Amino acid sequence: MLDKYLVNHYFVEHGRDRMNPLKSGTLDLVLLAALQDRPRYGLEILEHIEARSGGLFDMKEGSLYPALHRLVRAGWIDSEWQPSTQGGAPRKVYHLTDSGLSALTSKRSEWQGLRGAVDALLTSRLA
Amino acid sequence: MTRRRLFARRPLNMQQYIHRATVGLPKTERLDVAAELRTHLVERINVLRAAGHPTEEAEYLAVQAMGDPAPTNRGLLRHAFTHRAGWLVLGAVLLGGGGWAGYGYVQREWTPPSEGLQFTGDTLTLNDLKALNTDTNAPRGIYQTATLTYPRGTKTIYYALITPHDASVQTKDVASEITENLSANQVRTVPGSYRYQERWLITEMRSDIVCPGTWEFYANVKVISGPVLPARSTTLPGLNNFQQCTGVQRRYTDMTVFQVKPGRYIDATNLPRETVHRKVEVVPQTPGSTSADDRAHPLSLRLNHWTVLRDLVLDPHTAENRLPALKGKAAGMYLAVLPSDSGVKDGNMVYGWDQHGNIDRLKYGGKVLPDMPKLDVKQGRFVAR
Repeated sequence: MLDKYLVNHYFVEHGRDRMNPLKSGTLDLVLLAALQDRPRYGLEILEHIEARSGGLFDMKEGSLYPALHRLVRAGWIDSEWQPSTQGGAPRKVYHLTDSGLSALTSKRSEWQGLRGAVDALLTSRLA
Repeated sequence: MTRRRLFARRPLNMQQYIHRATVGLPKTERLDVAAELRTHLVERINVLRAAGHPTEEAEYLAVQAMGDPAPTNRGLLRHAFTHRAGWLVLGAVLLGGGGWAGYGYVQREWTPPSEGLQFTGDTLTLNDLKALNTDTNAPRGIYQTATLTYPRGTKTIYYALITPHDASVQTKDVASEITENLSANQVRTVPGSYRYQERWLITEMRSDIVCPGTWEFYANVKVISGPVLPARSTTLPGLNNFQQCTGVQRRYTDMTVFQVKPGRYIDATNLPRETVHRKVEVVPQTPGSTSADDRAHPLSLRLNHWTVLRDLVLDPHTAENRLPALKGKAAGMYLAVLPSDSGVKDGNMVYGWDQHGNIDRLKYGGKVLPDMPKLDVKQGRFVAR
């Protein structure tokens, strides 16, 4: 009963259209969070995620770019080509926009709500 | 269980990966993404080479880490048609569908239906059954059926009801019917293939509605795509009062027996029979009624000519008529049609009088119509004057 209540509660609170927390929603949150403190380019974003998650995210590197382009189209991040600081080819650097920052705040809140609900579910099951 | 490929896929190099990941994108976007992917891969290769891998291995590992280029390409394109075969199939489907729709349009709008008479025996179509079911007065029985496709340019149709001793004519104003039923715009856009069509159902059974008077011979003609043919004539005796009857009903008494001339009124006791020279026409043995080949190729229906629908003969011996005069080889009631390219000018009126006040010739708007076919009861043939 409780788990059904929690799932229903989550749908009511956050809307079914935004409820895909284990796939693209999570990836968007992760990418937005990776750009929160400073702009980064593609490979740097991957390395940052890998370092911060302890290698938990096992994503193909090629799938990063469609996700980044989707966020650009959503207006949450923006990009610009910048010369490499190490003397190599120029890099395309991504940074958060204002709406991206709002989206990050919202998604973070969603995630915390979901995590709390799942924690409560797991706790009740264990009890 | 993991299925193994029959043939191992060849590893992609950097250029091939970039090509496959960006194929189908608009040129500017494709160059932008290709540069970004190339920067990524070159940087990865440099890191791997610094770790001791040869260049070829480093490129292989960097491309492997990127994963399958197909999902990347789909994500960048935002649709699933990343394979050329998909576009080919979609194109083929669209072409096929468009071609089929276009073919149907041309068939429907621009290919003329075959002109002429097509007898379809006693077979009723679904539309026939619908028409009969919606007519509460439609008699039950076996119907003879035919489809009449009139020649192009038909403005008026004359219907002749012919018996061994009688003939009467009715008309239908096709041009007005088209104008009334279609908007002005539709009339303008009526394609060159337009042909006026009627579906005839004829039975000898009595209708539920019985008109007053001495009606001894009943037959019903139902024209589905036009008005029901009423037994009406403003010039023939006994028929000048329009009766709301279903189908054609003709009265046979001494006063309404006519001589050879169509429309001529002759009192049998006062007027002698007229001797005329006749050109004999042999009545075929119900042509076109049984041959599948005849049904596939409609019989001719010529403009400004009478055509007798011989296959739709109604035999009075099986109807309710008991007049001895109608017994014989050629007994029966026939219908003939004359599609005319002249429009109606004077209403539903056939006129022209002789010195006795009888109808002399069939005229319409001043134009003399061809004489109606005459059925000779003794010869058992249609004869023409």
